[in-house]
Amino acid sequence: MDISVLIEEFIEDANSHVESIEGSLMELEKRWGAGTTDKALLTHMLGSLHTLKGNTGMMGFTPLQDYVHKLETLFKSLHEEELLLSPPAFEVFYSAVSALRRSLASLANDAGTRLDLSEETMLLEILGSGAYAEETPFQNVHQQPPVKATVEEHSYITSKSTTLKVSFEKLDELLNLVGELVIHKTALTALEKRLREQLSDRALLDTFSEASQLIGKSSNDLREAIMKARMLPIKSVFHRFHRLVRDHTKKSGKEITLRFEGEETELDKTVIDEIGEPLLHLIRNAVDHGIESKEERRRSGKTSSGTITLGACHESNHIVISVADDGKGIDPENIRSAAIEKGVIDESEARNLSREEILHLIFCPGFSTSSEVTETSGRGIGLDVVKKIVTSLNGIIDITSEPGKGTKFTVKLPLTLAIITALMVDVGGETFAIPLSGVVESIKVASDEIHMIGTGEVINLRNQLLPICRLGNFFKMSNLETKPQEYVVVVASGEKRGGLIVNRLLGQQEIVIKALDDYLGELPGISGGTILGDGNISMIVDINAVLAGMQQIRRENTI
Amino acid sequence: MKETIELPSSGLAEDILSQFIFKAQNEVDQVSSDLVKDQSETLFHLVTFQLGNEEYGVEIANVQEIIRATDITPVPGAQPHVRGVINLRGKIIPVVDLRTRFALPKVESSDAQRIVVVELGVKRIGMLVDGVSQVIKIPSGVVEEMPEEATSVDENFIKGVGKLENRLIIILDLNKSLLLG
Repeated sequence: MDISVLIEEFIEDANSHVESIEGSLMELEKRWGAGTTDKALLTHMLGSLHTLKGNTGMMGFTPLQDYVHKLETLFKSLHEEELLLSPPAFEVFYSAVSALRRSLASLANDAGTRLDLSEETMLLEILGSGAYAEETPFQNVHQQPPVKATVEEHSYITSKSTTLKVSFEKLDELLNLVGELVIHKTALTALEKRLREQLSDRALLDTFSEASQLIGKSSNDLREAIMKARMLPIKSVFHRFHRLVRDHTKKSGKEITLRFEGEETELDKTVIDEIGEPLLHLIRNAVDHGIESKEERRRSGKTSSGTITLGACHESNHIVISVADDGKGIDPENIRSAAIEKGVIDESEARNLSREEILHLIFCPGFSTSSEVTETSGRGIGLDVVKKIVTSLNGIIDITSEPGKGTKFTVKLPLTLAIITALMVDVGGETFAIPLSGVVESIKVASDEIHMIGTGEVINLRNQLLPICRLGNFFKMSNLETKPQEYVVVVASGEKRGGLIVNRLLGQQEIVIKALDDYLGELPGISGGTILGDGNISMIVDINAVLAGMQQIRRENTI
Repeated sequence: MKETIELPSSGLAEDILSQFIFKAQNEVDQVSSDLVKDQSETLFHLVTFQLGNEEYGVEIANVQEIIRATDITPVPGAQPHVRGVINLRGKIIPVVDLRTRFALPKVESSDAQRIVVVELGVKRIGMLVDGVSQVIKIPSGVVEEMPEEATSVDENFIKGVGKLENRLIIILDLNKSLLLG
């Protein structure tokens, strides 16, 4: 049997088992802390382990199979009450879950990897030998009548059964097919026009056009339904941080509770995929620099346990995700002096900045107030990277902080990264899409209002000089014309502003972003492509790159 | 005749032999298509197309489809040999202008122009050609590695030349024709 075909399926399946085991383990720990040992949970975990063992055996990953078998034995003795739960036992189980995950990752990388699980196996054996056994209040616990497990209590175990796993490619394929449908619908409209010219049977024509409209409506509904199918609750991202925070509290001695708000908020898969990394940095930041140690918290009259709240909600056409801690907060004065010291800004500049502006300095590259390097957040990744990621997703990041009370980061992102609203323009006979999020306004300018100053053209827009650039020239296109009146699309990206001269404005449209094949290489000023309703392709203008390119060209011309 | 074909198949000697076989068979069978019936020899299954004055071929296994050359959207900033992109059933794929790629003079667009969509690993790339000729099977015996005769294509791109009775088919190495470096 050719294993390589099966490996992908195996890894995916195995990972979902490991995830389920970890979830149950956390639930088990929670309930154990509350004084009960949940047999139903143990049975559930045994089931997952057993399947995992069978599958690894079938795939011929013997070392992993042996390891899972040992783990299963341990859980069996827990179930039989030969072995009792204890804090060290949980540590061993958590590390076992990590070991499983690591092994699966290396197998996914290379199915031929020789796994060495001897150390991990030893841990299991030590635990099995009872060396960790302690006197725990647990022994009294299981003499209590077993808590009746209600259906509701275990709903998380079965909650997945109503969903169906479909690979994202398949959904993308569906979206492509709908795109085709829309294109064929256009052909139908064209056909209808021709029929109207040649046929005189009005009733027949009306029936035809009605049918054609219904097809159009259905294809639109279908498109929306598929877009909805790509939406996932942000829960899946939020819950990944449980482990991070839990591990950290054990290590640092800090006590941190992770809370969620609005975890059912649904996001497009494209956003879900990208949001993990910036959130990770923000949470690490809160864990390391936000929340104080237990003693410090007590001294300042707070509860010894700190709280990090992850929130998500919809706000008009955006999704707002926040990371808030009730830690020590940030003193703007510290930021101000650190920024001056590190040369991010000079003293006179610093004096003119408002409180908010000073807080925003922490997003500047090269800025990090903490000199200590910790395992969690000291990996050379600063908040500037977070800002960069958020900006690249067309989002905005904001910070509010009150010394002594806590800090809150707010990330505002578009609902989907796959669909944007764009201003469609004509340049040299080709249609380009300019993302509306970066468009400030569009104006009509007489050509004698365009002045050549130094090395580039500018216009005077409400007493402010605005550098402009002919988009056709920027893209080195031929057959360009200059007209007595030019359309200027004023665009902005961060602090940069500029005007783009285009031939015609064609209107606003929702477009589906498609990445261009990397065969095309680097395309300055182009961020992707999109397929329009009539089947034609239009390039999406990368506003940030065009503005940067404009500055570059001006600088080169000066020299 | 059959015995001759089954001679050890390697090296230059084989090439010379196959030329002899080709000529001999042409005398006997008149048409090359009869060679196809001989199952003892491997066959090149080609899609051939016109480019300038020459006929080119690519292996049919690499060809996904052939479509009319309409609605190619130019991509600003792309390499000169990239003509643009097309919408192939909802996917945006690049189109290479083989004329530019092979340094042939530019021509006006015509109705005969086609895009040969080929698969290159996971990539799909369109090749703009002057026109598509046919699908043909030729025995490897009549395929010669790049000879010294002058063609307008850099030798690197050529896998071999198929010599039929009254025509030559230049068989392209797709990797070298389309990928740079």
